[in-house]
Amino acid sequence: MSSTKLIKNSLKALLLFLSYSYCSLADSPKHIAITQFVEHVAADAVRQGLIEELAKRGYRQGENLMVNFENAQGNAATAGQIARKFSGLKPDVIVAITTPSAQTMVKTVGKESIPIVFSAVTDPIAAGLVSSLKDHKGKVTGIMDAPPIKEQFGFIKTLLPSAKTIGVLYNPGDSGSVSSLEVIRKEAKAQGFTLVESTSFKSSDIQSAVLQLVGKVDAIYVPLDNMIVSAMKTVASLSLRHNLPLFSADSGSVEAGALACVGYSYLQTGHKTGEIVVEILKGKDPSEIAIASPGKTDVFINQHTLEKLKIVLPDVIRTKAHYF
Amino acid sequence: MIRMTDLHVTFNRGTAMETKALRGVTLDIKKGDFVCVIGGNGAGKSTLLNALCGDVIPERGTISIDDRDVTALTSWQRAPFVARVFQDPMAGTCANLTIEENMALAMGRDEKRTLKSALNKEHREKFRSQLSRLKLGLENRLQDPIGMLSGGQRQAVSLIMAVLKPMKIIALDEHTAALDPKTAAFILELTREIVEETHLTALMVTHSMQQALELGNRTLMLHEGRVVFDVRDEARKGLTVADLLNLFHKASGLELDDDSMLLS
Amino acid sequence: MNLIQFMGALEIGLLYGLVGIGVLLSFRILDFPDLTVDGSFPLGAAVCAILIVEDVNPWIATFCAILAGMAAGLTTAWISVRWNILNLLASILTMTALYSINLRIMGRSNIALLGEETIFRPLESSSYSLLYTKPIAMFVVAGVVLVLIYRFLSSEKGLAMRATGANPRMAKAQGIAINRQILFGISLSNGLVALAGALFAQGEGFADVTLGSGTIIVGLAAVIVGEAFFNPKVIFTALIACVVGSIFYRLTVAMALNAGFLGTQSSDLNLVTAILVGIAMITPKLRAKILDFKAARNSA
Repeated sequence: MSSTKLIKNSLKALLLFLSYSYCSLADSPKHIAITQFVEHVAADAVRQGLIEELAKRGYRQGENLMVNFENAQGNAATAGQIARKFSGLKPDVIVAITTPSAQTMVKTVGKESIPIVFSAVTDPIAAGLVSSLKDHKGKVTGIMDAPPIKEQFGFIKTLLPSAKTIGVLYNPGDSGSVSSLEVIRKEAKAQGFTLVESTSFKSSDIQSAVLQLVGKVDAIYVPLDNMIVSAMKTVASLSLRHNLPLFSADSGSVEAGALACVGYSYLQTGHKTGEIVVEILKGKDPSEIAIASPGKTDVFINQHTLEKLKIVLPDVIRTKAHYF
Repeated sequence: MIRMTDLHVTFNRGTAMETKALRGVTLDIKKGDFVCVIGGNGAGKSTLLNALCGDVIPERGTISIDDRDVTALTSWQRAPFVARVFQDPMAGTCANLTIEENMALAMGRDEKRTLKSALNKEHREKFRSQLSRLKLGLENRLQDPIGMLSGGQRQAVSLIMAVLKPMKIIALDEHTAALDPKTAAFILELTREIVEETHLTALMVTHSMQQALELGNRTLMLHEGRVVFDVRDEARKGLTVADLLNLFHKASGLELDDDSMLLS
Repeated sequence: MNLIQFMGALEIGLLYGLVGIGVLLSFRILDFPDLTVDGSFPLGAAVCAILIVEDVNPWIATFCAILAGMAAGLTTAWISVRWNILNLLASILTMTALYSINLRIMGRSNIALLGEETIFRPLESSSYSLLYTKPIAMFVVAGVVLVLIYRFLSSEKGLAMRATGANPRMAKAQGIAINRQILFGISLSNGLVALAGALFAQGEGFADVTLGSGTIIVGLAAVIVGEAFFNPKVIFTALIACVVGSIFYRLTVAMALNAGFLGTQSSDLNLVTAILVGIAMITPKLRAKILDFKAARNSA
């Protein structure tokens, strides 16, 4: 072989070798394991958003991404067994959707081994998953979907510009409600609202708690309160009967009859989760990833309640809202 | 020993199915009496026994045992001094428990139960010696579930269980009725022996007039919730079934038309 | 199945073995179908968790959980015995009330115990791997409970309880106050289940109001599968059988989680449970049929 040909062939070979290695490096399949606690539209939407985001960023199931998914079916013991399965599988990233799945995962896998990304968890610090939102140690991070109270009160102001007093309905025995009350008071004041609090200790008190607000407030706000939210149909119909706009912190309540809520869509939550997972897959240390909120908010409105209250939506809201 | 005063028992009071099972029964049973109670269906025999044992509470009248008023006591409160053998061999024992466990239950009848082990060597020795008198080989089968035994065998064990501990009264509720004639005879003979040995006051409900004359020292006949006649000791000796029928006729003015009582 | 899954199945299986023993006490021994356990399991978890979070010693917290469970069982039994309400219905009443009561006790729907002082803390700080120490700890707990319950059931009082369920009328004739037996027995049963709940919360790191759903099914599965395996004739074997049944159930779940090749997903787990328990129930009958067939063939 002549020297030029030799050099050409060697260069070709080198190029081939380099490109082959590069491809294998880029294509070495990544492995993620996803678990969710319940079979629920919301959790499914998070997972869907996650997979979509991963695909958008170049990680596609079946091509260069292996995905294990297990649903605990609402059973904590099963969630525990799933956690152990994932612990043994040693994937690159574990994604745990909703609090109980995340808790058992962190307990089983620990905070220092496989990166765990939680999603759709309302309060990760209370859940014991991380010690703080920004400077947390360990390999646990994720997306928290605590209600965007600032945006919620801003929205009330936009929709009801003449409103001055807002009533807050909650159960003092619900520690989640009590802790969010501080933020509620701050944000209401920031928007220039006067707050009237009405408490209900048991389900049988809910009706009278609502009636106490009638005539005193221009609108009612219900935080993420277990007891009130589970009686939402009653609260909503009672408020409507007295022509009181009812705002909630979760979209499920809007479906049950509340006028509106500003919240995060679960799909959006999934996308944001996907962003974090991609960062970790690309090599970032989870302890450097701050826990974030899903970012973009959506407006959820109950059509029927809107019509009954005869409220006119400003164009900018009307076109972008989600209707029940 | 047993004093019943003006006992009235009514079932399903106030409904369409109201039944007056006992309508004023007054009895005085002495210590050591072996009373046979006969009567047609619905005469009130089983109700009398149930009232004595506490399964049924009379709406009127009192019962006292050994000069103690027991009318308000529940059946389990009377169990320490009233032993009982049921008609249905299945009802008198726990099928799933072993022979020795059933007997251990009987051992606990008269005293407060503790957390001590229910079965020990002494208990088993006692059970074995008691069971061997039956000559049925049961003393070697202590750990068999009692459900494996035949009806007759279970009744035999029930009888032994009734007298494992000192009792005041033994109540036998047609306890041979569910057995075949040969086994029934065996159980009856065993009953006679046991009551003789222990000098217990016995109340035996039977459906057979013949049995009612052969066993014990006193025969009582109930009809429609009342005592129709009551013969004992000397007055009873030598009576035949025909004599009993006459007595019934004289006392109630009716003819007895219950064939099963006459023929058995 | 990997080793972690296997040891996990053992650990959780032993823990739910306590539930199995509780269900054996109510369902089999006292003949009292008791759904309270769906409420007393999370009750134990809730009481234990809220006390631990308030810095109460975890052993005391666990003990309080047992007492709470016993109170729940006592309520069910009292409703049934005193007011003559069907045992199953009485238990449903208590179970339903417990959902709200548990929420009230916790003050929220979920309490995290990650990082709190639990009775497993000594294990977590030891140099031995938790992979082995936790299952061994659960084995010890299950063993101690098993021996204590066995000693009780062999005692005069325990025999009286067994008679109460086997033949109440005969039991009364033997001087047993059957109402008191039922009150104590159902109370004891739910105390055990609450203990399991407290251990679960500390072991898995959280207490949640949803912890209880399906507890009765797991307990029954343990009892029935154990009976199919062991065909117990004495009480000791029956006790061991339900713990083994519980472990076997967890191993089956673990295998189902791995049987992706069969196309099963975790959403099929309920079906897997149903099939497993169904097979367990049919096995003794099949066994009897085969024996009959053999006997017939021999005599022919």
